[in-house]
Amino acid sequence: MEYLSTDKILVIDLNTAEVEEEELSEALVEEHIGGIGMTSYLYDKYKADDPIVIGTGLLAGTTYPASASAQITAKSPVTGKISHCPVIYKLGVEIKYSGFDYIVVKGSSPSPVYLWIHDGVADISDAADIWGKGVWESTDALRKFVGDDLLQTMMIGPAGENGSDYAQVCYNYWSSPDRFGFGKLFGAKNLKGFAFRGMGLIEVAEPEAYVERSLEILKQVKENGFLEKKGIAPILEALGHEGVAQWMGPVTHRHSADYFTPYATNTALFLDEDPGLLKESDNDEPGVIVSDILALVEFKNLGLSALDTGRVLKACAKYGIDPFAVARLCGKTSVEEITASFDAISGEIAIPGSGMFTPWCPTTPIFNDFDLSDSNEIMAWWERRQAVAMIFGIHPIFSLMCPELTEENMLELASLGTGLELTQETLDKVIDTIPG
Amino acid sequence: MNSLKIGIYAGSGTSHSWLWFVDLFEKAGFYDLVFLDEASVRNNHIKFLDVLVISGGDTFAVAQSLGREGGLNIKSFVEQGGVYMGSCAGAYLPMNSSKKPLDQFNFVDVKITNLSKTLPVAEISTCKFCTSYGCDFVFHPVREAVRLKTTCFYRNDAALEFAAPLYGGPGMKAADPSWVLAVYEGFTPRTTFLASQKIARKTLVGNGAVVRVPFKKGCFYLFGPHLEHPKFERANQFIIDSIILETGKDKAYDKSDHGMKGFANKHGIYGKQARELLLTLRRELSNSRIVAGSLEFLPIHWLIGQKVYEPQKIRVYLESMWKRLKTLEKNTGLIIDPESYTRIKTAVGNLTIELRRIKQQVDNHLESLETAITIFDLLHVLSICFFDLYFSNRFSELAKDPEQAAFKAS
Repeated sequence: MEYLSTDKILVIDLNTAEVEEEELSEALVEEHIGGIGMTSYLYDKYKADDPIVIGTGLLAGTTYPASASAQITAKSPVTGKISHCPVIYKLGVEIKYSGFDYIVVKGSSPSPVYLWIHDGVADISDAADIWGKGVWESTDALRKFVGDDLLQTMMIGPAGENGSDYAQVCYNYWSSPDRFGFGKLFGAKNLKGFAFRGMGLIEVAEPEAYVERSLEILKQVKENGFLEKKGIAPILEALGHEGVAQWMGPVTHRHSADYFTPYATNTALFLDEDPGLLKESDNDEPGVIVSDILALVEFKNLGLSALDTGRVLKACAKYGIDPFAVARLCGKTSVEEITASFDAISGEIAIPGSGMFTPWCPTTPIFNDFDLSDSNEIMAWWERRQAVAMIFGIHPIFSLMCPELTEENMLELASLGTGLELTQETLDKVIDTIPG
Repeated sequence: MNSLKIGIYAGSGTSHSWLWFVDLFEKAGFYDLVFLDEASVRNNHIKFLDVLVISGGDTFAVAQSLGREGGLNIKSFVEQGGVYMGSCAGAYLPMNSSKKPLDQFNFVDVKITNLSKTLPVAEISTCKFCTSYGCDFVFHPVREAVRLKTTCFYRNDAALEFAAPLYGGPGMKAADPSWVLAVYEGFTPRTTFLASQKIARKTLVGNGAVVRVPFKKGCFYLFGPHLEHPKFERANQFIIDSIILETGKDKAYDKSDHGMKGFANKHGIYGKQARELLLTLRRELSNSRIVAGSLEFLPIHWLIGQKVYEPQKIRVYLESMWKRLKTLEKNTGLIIDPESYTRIKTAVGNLTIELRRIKQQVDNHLESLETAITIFDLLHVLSICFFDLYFSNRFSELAKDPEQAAFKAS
């Protein structure tokens, strides 16, 4: 597969430490398109080895708006269902640039390892020096070792190593959409995580037409009024959570967007410095970046201040535990009590719908109503919208905001980008075959 | 395919500009390239060449490395019909000089116009403005693209005009005006003036930019600007035309060791061993590119000898190898001698280690010059081995070498 692709599927066997590459053929793309269409196929192919499959959306890393996302597909050790977790921030596109469209990790390693994926090379590396350490320390250690602060990591912390049902796979320093306990799965495989860095390029079949259409779609998106807003507070207020902006105001520092995403879906809270400071911080990381808006609200509802909420979110990210589960299940109301309770929490977090998509992503449209009213209709729409976003690699929250991103124009761009004829019929078939 | 044998000096004292010659020759279809370090020049491996190229860098360091034997071998090479092409530092090298160690290379009576006992006032404060030259200074009045015009001694029907970038090369006055093939005609909107325009004009305009000095059966070509720079196609063509012109004139000297005989000491590696070597190269070049890219964000440079080296120069070496890796990876077997096999694997692994070391030194505000010297030495060793491997395989493939055909069949 020459276009929108690195042409390679990586298969790593942790049992034997063998690394193999398979070609990503055009026929596979014509049948499964990409993203979770392909990771579901690969999961099924290797399911005897309890695989973790990482994949990038077909449009990820291009000029299509919000083409920021990759995915992890695996069986949740908590729900027992095949589930799909979006990979966000700058990490999603880095996976594709690092030289592989899809990565299958089979089996378990006899000792802790991490996978260093760079420029089409996959190294199984000894994780003895970082096993037992938190997500932040591990990321810092790998960035220092490799010599590049732009290294993107997917790591577990002590929660995953200790087998917590609420263990998250974290991205760089931050919490992730993982509500499936994938962190526990990584830990059970003695897999500390991944480090990605790539300086690759992606070829496009019809580059001029692709960029032109992308920019036309982006222009349409920009005409939608919601792009005047920024950050997580307006999203929460659109979902009916009043007063979030005022509550967060004293510690709000900045908003940031994922790769080529027109809306800033992340907000940075400054905890250890004045958020109004207009200079480079003296601290390496004085705050926390929040993408998990529902966890934030849960802590607010417990009566925590925004400052204390930021401190707990930071502690969760370092420990590698799902902050939403902590907020919902810990039964504590102070920072000290909450952070001391990480290993003791128990209970169940409901996964909506068929259970294959993460409730980190709100289950309703945001800012625009998409002409939906009935709750069953909304849930069916949400599941389809998540599936489509994760086939093409579109930021899953942004896809809930933006009616201008349609299945039709995603297919159009996919066809322009690959030179293949990808139709609505193919997409419908792929969605039908995604396990849930 | 042209089977001219061209040697490119890539040893101590060179900067990255010899890589531009590699691009130029590959594009022109000259695949029989030999990459030389100082030992190979001193040991007279150059006697089998048609053309010897010495590009930019630190003239004093190049002269020091090549030494008296190197000088004598170059002289003998040209006397017997070889073509010497010197660009920038390679142009200064064979000019008459009383300064040690340049006095081992007193071959041509050409004077430097940008040499002064008193330094002109610099318009822009930069470490690239001048270098000491004994008790004098070689100063560089401009940088970047300048305009050149050929003289009637190059072609007497119509003059050619083209641009080429000048970084530290000389303006030249030749003892015999007929040696001057092109002069500095003027400047371009991209020219950066490091001295006043008046001084720049006086120093360069009308003076020699390309000089050809006949030397018994051979000749010295001296290029002030970098005509080999990949963004200057017309200047590139001037070099290629000159090579074709010269080597077509006189092929009488001893070429008995040319062509496939050069592979006599080279062995083939097959299957798993070849794949492992290619994977090692990919892995370590990638590791090196990543940390080298990261160094480019840092405000650091190193003064090595008379030259200033920025982190960006590291990536020029790495990218020139990286972009050729895919072509090499198509081979199922590789032509490489056992010594080079060991050397290339060691050098590429050590390069990652040293680059990661220097990144930590810079991050921690520690002294890093020694590590930088090691890194640039490693880059020379690695790139010589790499290009030797690359062009051996390309040349043998295109010459339909039976050994290589056997590899492919296997």
